[in-house]
Amino acid sequence: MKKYLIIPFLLILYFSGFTQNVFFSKSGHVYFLSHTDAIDIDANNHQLVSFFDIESGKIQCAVLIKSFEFSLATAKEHFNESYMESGTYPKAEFKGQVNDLENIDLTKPGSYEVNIIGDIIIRNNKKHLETKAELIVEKNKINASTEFYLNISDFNILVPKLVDHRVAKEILVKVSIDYLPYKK
Amino acid sequence: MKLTKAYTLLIISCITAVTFAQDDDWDSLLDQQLSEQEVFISAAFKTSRILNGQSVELLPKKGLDLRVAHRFAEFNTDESNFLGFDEASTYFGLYYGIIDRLNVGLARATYNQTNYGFLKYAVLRQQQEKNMMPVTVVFNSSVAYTSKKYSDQIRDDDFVSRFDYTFQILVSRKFSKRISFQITPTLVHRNLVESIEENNDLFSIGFGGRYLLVKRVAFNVEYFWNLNNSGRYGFEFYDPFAVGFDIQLGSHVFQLMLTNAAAMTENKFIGETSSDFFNGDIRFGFNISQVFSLGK
Repeated sequence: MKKYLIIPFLLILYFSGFTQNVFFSKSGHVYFLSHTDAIDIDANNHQLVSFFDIESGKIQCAVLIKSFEFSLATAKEHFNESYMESGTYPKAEFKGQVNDLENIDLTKPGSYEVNIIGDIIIRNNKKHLETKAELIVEKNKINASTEFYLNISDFNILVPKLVDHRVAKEILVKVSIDYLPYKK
Repeated sequence: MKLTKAYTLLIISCITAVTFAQDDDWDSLLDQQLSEQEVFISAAFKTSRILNGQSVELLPKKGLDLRVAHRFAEFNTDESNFLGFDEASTYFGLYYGIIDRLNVGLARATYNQTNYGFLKYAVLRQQQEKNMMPVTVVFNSSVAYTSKKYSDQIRDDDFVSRFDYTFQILVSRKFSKRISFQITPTLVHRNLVESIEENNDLFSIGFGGRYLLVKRVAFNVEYFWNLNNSGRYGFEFYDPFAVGFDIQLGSHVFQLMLTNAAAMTENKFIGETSSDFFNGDIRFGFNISQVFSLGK
């Protein structure tokens, strides 16, 4: 019978080993800014959800378009109804991979510069994205942050001629995510 | 034999463990997380009026809505009246978002030279499916002060008699991107009515709906079912009815409508609509809304 005892023991070892690889956040911060001479329009969202596997480097994020809060109050409705059509396309997604992990051990505390490559999906349009990111590893906690520009024409977002000068062609996006170990 | 059994179990356990550990169907896990977030359903209607009556839409904090509205004469009043364009009842208003859930508004209407103010508060807001809040509930209370001159001096001097109050509970649901519906139990209290046949307290239920035709154009219908309305000096009052379109151009919303109501404040259009829509007493009207943002 003693031999059987090893099984649950192995199982526990197995599970715990795996769950420590996977990190999760449901309060990631996304900021974006549309800068034009006429007006700056910016918004924050603190409800990005994300998984990050520190062993494989796989990373995946999703955020609801409707939960962006704008500094300019009246912009939110136009953003949702006219530009993003969030009723039809409720979320934005990123699916990617952290590169250079062979040189880095993310179980060790420290600050790491990495490249993330993947696809960003907005309004059913998939766009390849490569960006530098900073990973700050503490005990059982990882912060990932990055910034990049998105071209609105890549996502089939139509801006009426009348307000063309008020919406930037390129949108600055900043993302910062505090990950904790994922518990099922 | 025992050993083999043990190994088999071990292998099975390991396979199970692997499949469990690799059960990282992140797509569905992330979707599930998103579906649990508190997200309010927005834009059940394009602007703060369905057509005549208030809608559940509120201005965001620091939003300012400048509103201009006209109702012209009935088409069938006079042949030379050019579809009623020669006469107009007008309304100028400023609405403001104190917070996202609370709006205040002030307006002046030429109909009976009325000064009008309201407070609108969102008690409940419709959320996405999983959060079990299927409707938006907004409380609206308005006060109207009739400033016109009465020929009877006693009537003219009676300050209190010039006030009318309206209390409404606006309950709406956005069923889909295109279809929204609102039901509006209403109480209009008049401090003084013109004739003995009329009730000081008037009960009415409003029904309003919209169908979004394309992104920037919606078709709206609105009807108030008056429960205890009566006539005045032998003339009947009718339930206010309106059909029209919302047309959105940038931060402007134009509402073009056909209606039988000449007034634009609740106390008057619910209580004193003297034209019968279904008898052809139809007038053209419009509301124009321009929303500004006062600071960040």
